[in-house]
Amino acid sequence: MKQAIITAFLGKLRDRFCEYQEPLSVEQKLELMTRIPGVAGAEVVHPYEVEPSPERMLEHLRRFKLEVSAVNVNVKGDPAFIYGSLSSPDPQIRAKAVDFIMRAKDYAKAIGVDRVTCCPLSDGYDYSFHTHYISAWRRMVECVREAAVYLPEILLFMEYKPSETRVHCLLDSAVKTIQLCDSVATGNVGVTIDIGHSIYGGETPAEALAHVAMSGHPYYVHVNDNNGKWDWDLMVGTCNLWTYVEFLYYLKELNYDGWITSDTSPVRQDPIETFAFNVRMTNRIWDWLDRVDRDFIRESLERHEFLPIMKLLSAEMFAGVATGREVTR
Amino acid sequence: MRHAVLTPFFGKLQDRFCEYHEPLPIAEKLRRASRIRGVEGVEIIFPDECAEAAAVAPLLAELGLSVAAVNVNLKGERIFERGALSSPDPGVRGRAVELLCQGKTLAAQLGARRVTCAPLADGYDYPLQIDYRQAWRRMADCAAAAGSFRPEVALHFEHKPAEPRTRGLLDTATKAIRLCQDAGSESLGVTFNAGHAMYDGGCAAAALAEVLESGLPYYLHFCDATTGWDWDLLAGSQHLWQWAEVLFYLVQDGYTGWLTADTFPVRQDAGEMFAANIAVTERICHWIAGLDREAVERALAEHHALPMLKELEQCLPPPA
Repeated sequence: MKQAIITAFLGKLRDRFCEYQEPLSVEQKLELMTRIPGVAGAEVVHPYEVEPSPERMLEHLRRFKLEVSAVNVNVKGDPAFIYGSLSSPDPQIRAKAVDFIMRAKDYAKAIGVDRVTCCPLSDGYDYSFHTHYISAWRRMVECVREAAVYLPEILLFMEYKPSETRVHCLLDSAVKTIQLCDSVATGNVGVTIDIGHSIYGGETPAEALAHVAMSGHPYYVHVNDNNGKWDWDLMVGTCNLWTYVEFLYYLKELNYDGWITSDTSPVRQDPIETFAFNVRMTNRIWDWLDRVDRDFIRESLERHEFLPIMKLLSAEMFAGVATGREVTR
Repeated sequence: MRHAVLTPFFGKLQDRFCEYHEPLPIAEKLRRASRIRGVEGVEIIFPDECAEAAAVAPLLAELGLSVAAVNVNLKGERIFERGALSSPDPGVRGRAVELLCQGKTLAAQLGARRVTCAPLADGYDYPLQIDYRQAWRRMADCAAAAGSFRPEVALHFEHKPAEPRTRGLLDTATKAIRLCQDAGSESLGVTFNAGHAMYDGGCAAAALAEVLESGLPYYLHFCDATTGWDWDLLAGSQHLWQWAEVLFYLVQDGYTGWLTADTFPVRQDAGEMFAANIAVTERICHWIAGLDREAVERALAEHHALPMLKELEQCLPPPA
C-alpha cells in the first residue's frame, strides 16, 4: 500500500462563500508534497493541474521522487459541462467529454501512469422531470465505453458520488458504478471508491468495497471523512473511526496493494499537517491490522458477531495513552 | 461519574417487525444489572416496570443499587397516541401530569433525585396537523404544573428528534432548554441523550455545551446511532471521537452524576453490551484525565483542530 494526495487540495480552495489558502503552481504543489512524510504519489488533475508538457512533468516527478497514482480527468469544470458531460443530450458535449478522457489517457501514457480516474459530477439532475434517467444512463455507458476502448491499456476508473455539483448524481453508489462497468463491458473500467462519498451516501464503505471486489472490477481508493450529510472532505477517521478501520480491514483482507489517495480539503488547516495526519492515521491503523488477531475477526464475522471484535479492537484503543502529556501544535 | 442502566433493556424488546429476548420481571432485571461490573444504578420505567416503591426497594437495597432516575413513560397508554403533555384534550394532559407527579412520588420513595421524561408522543406527522404554538404552550404549562409538585425531585425532559412521532416537539437539546425556561419552574432540567443529539446529524458536544451554558440541572443518557435513526447502539461504536468530546465536556464541567446507558441490545446479551459501554467510556475518561487540560483549553481557544486531533491519534495503538 502506498499513499498519495490529490494535488488540487494543495493550492487555493473555495466553497460557495469563501476562498482558502493561496494558489500554487503544479511544481510548487509537488514540492510541498515532499515535505509530507510518507507520501509517495500525486493524483494530478487533467487538464487543469498538470504541466502541459509531459516531459516537464516527468522532470518534476523525478526531482521530487514522486509517482503519479492516477490522472484525474475533470469533466465538470468546463462551462460546456454544467448540464452534464458523459450523459448530456448534446452529442457535441458528450464528444467533448470523451475527448477530455482520451487526452487524459494520452497524458497518463506519456508520463508512464496506467490509470485515469473520472468522477462525472455534472451528470445528474436537480428536479423531478429534469433528466430522462434511462437515456441519460445509456448515453453515459456509451461514452465510457468509447473512452475505455481508447488506449485500453490505461485503465479508466469511474468514481461515484451522491451529489455535488448536481443535487443527485447519476453515478451515486458503488453498485451503480459496478453496473456501469458491467454495461460498458470492456474489461478495463474500474471503480474509484471514495470512502467519504460512500459515507455520506448512506453506504457502509467496507460493504461497498466488498461488492466492488466481488464484481471483479479493478478499484482504486480515495480517503477522507465527513459527518454523513455532505462531502466535507475531512481528515480520515475524525468522524467515523471504526468505519475507517473496517474499510482498511477489508482492503487488507482483499490483499490490496495499490494507492490510498487522500481526498481531504485542508481549508482551515495547514495542508502539510493535514495530509501528514492522514498518512499517519492510515499507517497506524494499517499496521495495527497486521498485528491484531485477524483469524479471530474472521471467525467472529462468520458468526455475525460484532461484540467480540469490538472488544478485541477497542481494548487496544486508548490503551497506550500516557498521562499528563503536553498538547502539541 | 457513576454508571447506571435502563432496566427495560434487560427484558423483551421489540421493533415494528420483530421481538427479541424474553420478558423478565423487574426483580430479575435488577439482579442482572447488579451483576455488571461498574453498574451502581438503574433507571426504572414508571408505571410499566414498577408502580410502587415496595415492589423494588428491598431488592435494590440488597443488591446495593441506587435509582439514578425514575423514567415516566408518557407514550405507552393509548390515550397518548396523539400527544400527552401537548394534547389538545385537557383530560389527556391531566393524566400525563398525574403520571409525572406519581413518578416523582415514587422517585422520592426510592431515594432518587429526579424523574426523567421523554415526551415522545408529543409531536406531529404531517403539515397542518397541530398548532405548534398552542402545543408548545400546553407542554410548557404541563411541565410547570408537574415541576411545582414535589419540587425537591427534579423533573428532567429528554430531547429526541423523532419516534414514535415523525417529528418530536422536543426534538433538540435547545428546545428542552427552552421548555424548562418557558415553564419557569426551578425544579426542571434536561436529560441530555448523546445518541439523540448525534442521530439528527448534529454535534453532540455542541448540544451539551448549550445545556451547560443554560445552567439548568442535567442528567445523561448515552448510546450511539447512525445518522437518521435512534438505533441505541453501543457507545462509541459509530461516533467514538464525538462520545469522547461529550465526556470531555462533562469532565470539564465537573459532572459527577450518572451516565445512564440507553443501548438496545437486540442481538447481543444485555449484560455484555452494558459492560462494553462501560469499558469504552472508562477508557475514554482515563484518557481525558491524562490530558493537559490547560493545553487543551488553549487549543480550543484558538479554534485549531489539529492539536486535539493529534491527541486523538495517540489513542490508537502505537505504530509497531
